[in-house]
Amino acid sequence: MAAPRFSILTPVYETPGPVLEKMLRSVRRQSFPDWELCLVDDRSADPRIGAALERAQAAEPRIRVERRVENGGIVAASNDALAMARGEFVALLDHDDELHPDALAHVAEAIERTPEADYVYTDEDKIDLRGRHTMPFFKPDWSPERLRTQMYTCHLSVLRRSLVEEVGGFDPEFEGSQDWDLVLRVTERARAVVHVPRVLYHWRILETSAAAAAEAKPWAFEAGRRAVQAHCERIGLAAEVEQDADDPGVLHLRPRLEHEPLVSIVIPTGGQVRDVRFEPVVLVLNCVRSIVERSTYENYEIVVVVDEDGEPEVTDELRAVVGERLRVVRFEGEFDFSAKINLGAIESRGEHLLLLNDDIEVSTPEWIERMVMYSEREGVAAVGGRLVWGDARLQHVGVHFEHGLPGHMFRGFAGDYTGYMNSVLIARNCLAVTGACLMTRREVFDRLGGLTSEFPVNFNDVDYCLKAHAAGLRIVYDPDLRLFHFESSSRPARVEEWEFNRLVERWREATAVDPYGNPNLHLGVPRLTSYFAWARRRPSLPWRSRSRLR
Amino acid sequence: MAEQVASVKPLVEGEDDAELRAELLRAQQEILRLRDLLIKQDLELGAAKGRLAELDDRSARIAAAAGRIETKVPGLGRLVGTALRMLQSQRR
Repeated sequence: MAAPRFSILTPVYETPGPVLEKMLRSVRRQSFPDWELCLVDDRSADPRIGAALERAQAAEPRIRVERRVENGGIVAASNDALAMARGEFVALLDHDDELHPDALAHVAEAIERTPEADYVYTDEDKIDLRGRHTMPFFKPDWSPERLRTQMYTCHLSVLRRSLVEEVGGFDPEFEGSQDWDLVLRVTERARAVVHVPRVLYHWRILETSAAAAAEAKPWAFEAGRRAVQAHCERIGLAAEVEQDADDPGVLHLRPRLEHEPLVSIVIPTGGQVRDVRFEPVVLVLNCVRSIVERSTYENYEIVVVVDEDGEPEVTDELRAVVGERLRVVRFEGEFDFSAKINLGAIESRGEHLLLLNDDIEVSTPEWIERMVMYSEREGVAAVGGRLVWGDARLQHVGVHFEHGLPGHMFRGFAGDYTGYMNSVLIARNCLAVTGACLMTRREVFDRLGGLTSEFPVNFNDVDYCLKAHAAGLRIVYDPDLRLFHFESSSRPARVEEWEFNRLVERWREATAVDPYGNPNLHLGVPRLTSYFAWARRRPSLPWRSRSRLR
Repeated sequence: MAEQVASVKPLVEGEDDAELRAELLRAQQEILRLRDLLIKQDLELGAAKGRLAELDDRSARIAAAAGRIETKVPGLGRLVGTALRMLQSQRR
């Protein structure tokens, strides 16, 4: 018998009869025929489970059943199922969940389009206690930074079997989050990771399942934290992984840098005065004061690019506040933000450049450490954070694209807004972050040619990030990097039509579909029609899969 | 102008100096207190504006979806509205 394309691995333990039957039926009715179902009964006490599995095996030759001699837990049972598998890929299916009828067909098509795919994941939803489809999770394309703070790929996960075996299968040390750990280890070596933006997995909410409540399996969340910590150590990411105080499914990375490379903070300024907290202040003075007083990072310099007609008193005061770390560069000519930044970069010496607007105020003491932690990564080009206005409303949590045009997601929403699937709270990749606070490696900045003067006022930051994206590099949003941005919240930045047109012309292909969005999301939130996404069948709508080579 | 300065000078340097300084300090503290209060109020207002923005966003989505349905099936919105009103009146 030839090896099938997919081996579905399903450990079974004390599964309620009707639920088990629904799971089996969902596999049997797959429109893609080339599969095998590897069931391992982890010594369930209820004899009806064994009988049901035997019946299923007798009725369908593609179903294979093994029974463990003693109960070993989900990892042992999953490894037994993996040992049974003969397929090129393994698909992970829990004993109480269901597959969409076209699940394997869609995954097979995605693999057909990207033959080097080693890991494929899909969107998912939940089936509540009354059998209704609810809480769809529409995911972004491959986002390695997100996987370190949230197990977002979860179900359906399909992995190349040879790679799973190469990394040693499921690790008992991470029981409860063994799938997160496995996906982390596989993606560290995967040639390509592919996302199928369709709801192809239905996660059943049972009173005891992790889908119902975080309290049901606290140890599983702790195992997840340890799995990410182990991953960080493997890849050399200098971070300590911490669980979120409110949501154990959300993790935070705290930087633990072993060295402090020189960071050059480049601040272009015209020396403007504006009301900050009901008091007129010189913005650049307020900004550098907050840097000097709050930053815990030691090795930085501040390069202030001032207009030629700037007030000399401001420069004097800057020197008094910053001392020897300050370098003042005079900019001559008409206003050109890009040219100012480029000039500042030329005059600076740091290994990392931190572009900062003068209307920013630092509130996170370890803000530079956070940015360096990500900026040092080989595949990362730019890092940004969570910016809020003076009244704590969200100003920036990453730039998203809709029909090729950029926008600030959740702009003006309350400061405690968590976003769809905690998207505000977790670190993740996006196509661009604002240049109001952006760190990039000098080497990357030079390679990409800095900021272009094609955009002297707006979109130079977006253009820079898109150049990085086109070069195969990632942009990171870090939610734990919080800064105040005293831009006017009532008056949106004036963007000329030609600027929009030029941006669309330059980046039409890259931004037509935001890879970190989802066809079922609009401005980061599910469309109303998306709640029926689980019911869509394959022939009715064309679909698209996107891959990101690592 | 010079006269004005001359008339103020004795007040600052004279016997009422300490009293004036204390008054000034009290006024400054009051300004700071009011400013803190204003910042707190601004944060509360910000939270309320933020919630409003979320609700606005949600209602805009619903309105857009209703608009799309109405375009595809003219009159459906009115029918659904009437049906909902009838249901509500029955419940009462």
